[in-house]
Amino acid sequence: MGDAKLDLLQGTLDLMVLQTLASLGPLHGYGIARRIEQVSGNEVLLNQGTIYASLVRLQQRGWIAAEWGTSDNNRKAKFYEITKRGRKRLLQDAAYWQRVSNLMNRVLAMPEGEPEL
Amino acid sequence: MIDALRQSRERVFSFFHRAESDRELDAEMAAHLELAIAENLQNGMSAKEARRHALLHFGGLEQSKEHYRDHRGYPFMETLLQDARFGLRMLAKNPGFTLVAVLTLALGIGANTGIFSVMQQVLLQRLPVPHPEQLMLLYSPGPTSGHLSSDEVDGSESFSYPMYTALRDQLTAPNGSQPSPAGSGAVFAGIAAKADFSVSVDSRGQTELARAELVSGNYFDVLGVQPAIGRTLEPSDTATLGGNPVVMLGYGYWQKHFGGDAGILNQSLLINNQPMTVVGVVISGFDGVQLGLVPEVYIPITMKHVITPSWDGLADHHDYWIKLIGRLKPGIPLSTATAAIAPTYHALIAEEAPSNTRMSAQEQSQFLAKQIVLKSGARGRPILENDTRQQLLMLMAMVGLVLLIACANVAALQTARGAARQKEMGLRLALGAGRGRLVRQLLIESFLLSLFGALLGLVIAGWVSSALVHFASANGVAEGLSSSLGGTVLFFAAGVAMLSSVIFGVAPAWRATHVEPVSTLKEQSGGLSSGLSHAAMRKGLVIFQVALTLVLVTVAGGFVRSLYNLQHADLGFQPANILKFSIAPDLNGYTKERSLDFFRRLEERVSALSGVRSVSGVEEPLMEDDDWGSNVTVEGEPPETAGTHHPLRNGVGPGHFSNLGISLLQGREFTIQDGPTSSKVAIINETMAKIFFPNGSAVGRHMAFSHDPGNLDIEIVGVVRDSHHSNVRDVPKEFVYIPYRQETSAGRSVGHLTYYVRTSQDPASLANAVRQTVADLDVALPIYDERTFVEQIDREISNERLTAALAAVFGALAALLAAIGIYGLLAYTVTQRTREIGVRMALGAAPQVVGRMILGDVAQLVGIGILIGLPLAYSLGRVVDSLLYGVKIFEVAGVAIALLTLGIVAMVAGCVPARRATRIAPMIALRYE
Repeated sequence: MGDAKLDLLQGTLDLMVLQTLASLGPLHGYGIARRIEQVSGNEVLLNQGTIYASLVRLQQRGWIAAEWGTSDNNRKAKFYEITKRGRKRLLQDAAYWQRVSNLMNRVLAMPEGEPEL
Repeated sequence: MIDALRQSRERVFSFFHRAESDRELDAEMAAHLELAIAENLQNGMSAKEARRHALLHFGGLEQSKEHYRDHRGYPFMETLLQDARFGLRMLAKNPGFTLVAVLTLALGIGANTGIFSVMQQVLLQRLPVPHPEQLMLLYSPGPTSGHLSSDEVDGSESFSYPMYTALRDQLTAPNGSQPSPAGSGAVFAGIAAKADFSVSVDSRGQTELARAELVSGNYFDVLGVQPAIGRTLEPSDTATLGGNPVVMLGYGYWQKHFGGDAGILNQSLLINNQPMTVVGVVISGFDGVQLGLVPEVYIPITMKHVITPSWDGLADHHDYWIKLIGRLKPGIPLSTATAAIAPTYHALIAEEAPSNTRMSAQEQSQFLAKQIVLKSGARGRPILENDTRQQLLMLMAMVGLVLLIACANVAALQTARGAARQKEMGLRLALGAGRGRLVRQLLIESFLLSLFGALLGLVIAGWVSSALVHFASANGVAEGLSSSLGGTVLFFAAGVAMLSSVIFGVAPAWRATHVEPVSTLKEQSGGLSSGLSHAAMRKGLVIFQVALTLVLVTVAGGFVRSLYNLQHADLGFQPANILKFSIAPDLNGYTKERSLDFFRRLEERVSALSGVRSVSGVEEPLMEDDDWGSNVTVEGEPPETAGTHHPLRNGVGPGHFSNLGISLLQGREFTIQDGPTSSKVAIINETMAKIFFPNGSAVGRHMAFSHDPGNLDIEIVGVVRDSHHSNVRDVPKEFVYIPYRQETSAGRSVGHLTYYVRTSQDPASLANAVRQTVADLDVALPIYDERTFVEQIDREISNERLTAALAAVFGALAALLAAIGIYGLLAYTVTQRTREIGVRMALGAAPQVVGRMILGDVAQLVGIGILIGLPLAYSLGRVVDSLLYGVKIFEVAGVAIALLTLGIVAMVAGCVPARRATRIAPMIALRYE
């Protein structure tokens, strides 16, 4: 089972959290974790607990803010929200990620066995 | 960057709110699980399964929390606190070790900090004024013509008042003004002048001597010093020569004499019999511009005729007595300023040159080439610094070495403890502790020791510092030094503590953690092998200590022998049983005639006191670092040298030479008959007689002073043995004595004399009778500098006394610490070798052989230490030899004494463990584990 799932690259979790909060608005930790799992089609190997280290890191950098609130089913939970600085950061990081991703795609698209360049 | 700052701010916050943040995290995770469970239930799982699934999916709860904490605060700091707590427990478990180590470190750190607190004031501290870096002292090296009063080596810091006013007017431009078109040298925002003198202050019927600072009106403005109350002196106060009888009080003087009463403002003080109005008090903390010399009253410089009644000199281009301190305009570099003022100064010098009398053509051209040299005035006038810099640096170096020796002792203790804790270390390594973590743990323990040492050391530093400050003030070395330990000093103590914890901590910590877990855990304690490399390390430490101790003891010995030489130098007179005091009727308004009459009556009365054998007065006091000289022309001298010899001179009273015990070699003494109107006479010393009359007798020949050339109308009536005049280190110089009652030179009112009263009993016991005698003649006349002549000589060499005493203390401290080190090592090795010694004795070794074996070890270590220490002592000795009198650090006698001291120390320290070794009972030792 574990073999089929993706181990997350260092730093990618932060980006996923930012994107999730940017598109869905305020969410609690569980919600964020679930959302990432759903979007990934359950392809991400995520110990949900690791999300909290990412959250505290983002919070310290001022990219997200947190506040205690009540969940849909009336439970007390800490809700996270992306800040203005966080959105700016997300734009930068996403652009960077796109470039890396495009580059990797092009590199990996090289046909095999033919020496080039 | 901002993110990083922000993150670290958050982290610091979290660090201090760990518990709160932990609770919040627990709540948050609990909420997470609840949400997960709820969702799982909705998806149709059983309650049990829903919970299991949620937990599984979450990952390790504790791991997550740990992971979270790593990102939250400072995990390094948190474990550091853990280590510190553990370290404290370990130190508390071992109180004996802790006590010895902390005391040793406290001594070392305390002594260092105490010396440093004084050193930094003398060598580092800047004046407490705004922008001290803009202040510049003005010097003008080169020949002068006329009268020069100076307290630096070459007199280059003294200017005449006309030169000062010219410089002030031509080199100063108000801040922000445009430089004049001629590109003038107006680089200063202001130039202030000062000179210090003693004055007599009569307040509420009591006359006392006070230290007066004569200052230019812009002095406080240039320095940027505010009044505590009232106003400062102002340029208008010195606008006219002889003008403005006003005075400002120093803060300390105001507190001491007027209890800080603001009512003193606008009242009148009688200063040198002249009423002066108190216009203000200088702000607390400002003690003038020369460290060690605290002005008590500040008086406009144009009042000089009142301060020095017989010597005005304000209008005289050839009277060099004023010290200048200027403030450069902001942003002007030193080199620019020096270049900019050169043309102005040259013009002034050229204008003055024609009036230089008696200057050879060569001197005249040197005079015309004189420049103004600027030196930083940020720390004020460096007189005290110049006098004490070398001694302070040497003492600082010595006390630093003492600390190193102390650190070696603590390192040895640490090593011993490391050996004892090998099992603990082995176990912790076996359980997976990183070596780095263990080293850190041990270093933290070292740091804690240093910290406690430093805290206790600050107490010791306070004592050292107040003792030094008290000594300096009581012996006239320096007043106004602070004994409180300020920020710089605390910073220094912290730095020293850190550094020493690294010095004594790193090696033992590294050693202690380099153990093989398996072998350590298996090994029996007390076995032969476990301690060997520890012992090697401790031997190295003892060798190091012996080497440094040899250096310190040798240097200390040099200073003590030098002091002995100073105290037993043949001064050419007999100072025992003499009481001395000074008196200055001219400061109380006496004319010269009245003063002479007063002195005659005083001499009659004092010599009639019971217990007094004889009394004599002199113009220039002896052994107070004062001297005075004049050019002379002597009968028979070739015309080309006439007037070029410059002997020292003094005016003395009748019977002076027999009173002080200076032998008369030819002719006669001055008597009461040598009065103001009788024919002029002089007595010269043997050095002068040899120069001028190498073949014949000096008596009956004639001479004249250059300020009063004319005929050679002074008859030489006697020749006396050479004697020291200004200090113990004097070398014999030509000297002319005249009766003080025949004094005619300008600037000499003979209005103040210093008296030497030879007694047949303890001289101090006559002090009251002498004071009463003076009071009987004039109750308003203060006497000052009253002490025995022997005390005066002691004061004169107080720098040397203090240096020798401190050097001796440091040497003794080093020897004591080395002894402890040697003792500790031997006690340890004897314990380690108990079984071996037992075997030897069981096989028939005599106790003496065993004892010799142990002492032989000591001798070997000490020998190696000496071989290393000797070249060190030699090279250090060469550096400080110049501070010594009549000895060298590294000479046979000194080294022999040092080696002997070290040998005795080593043997005493080695004796107890060696005796214990000889008493080992073989059977017990063999069973000993």
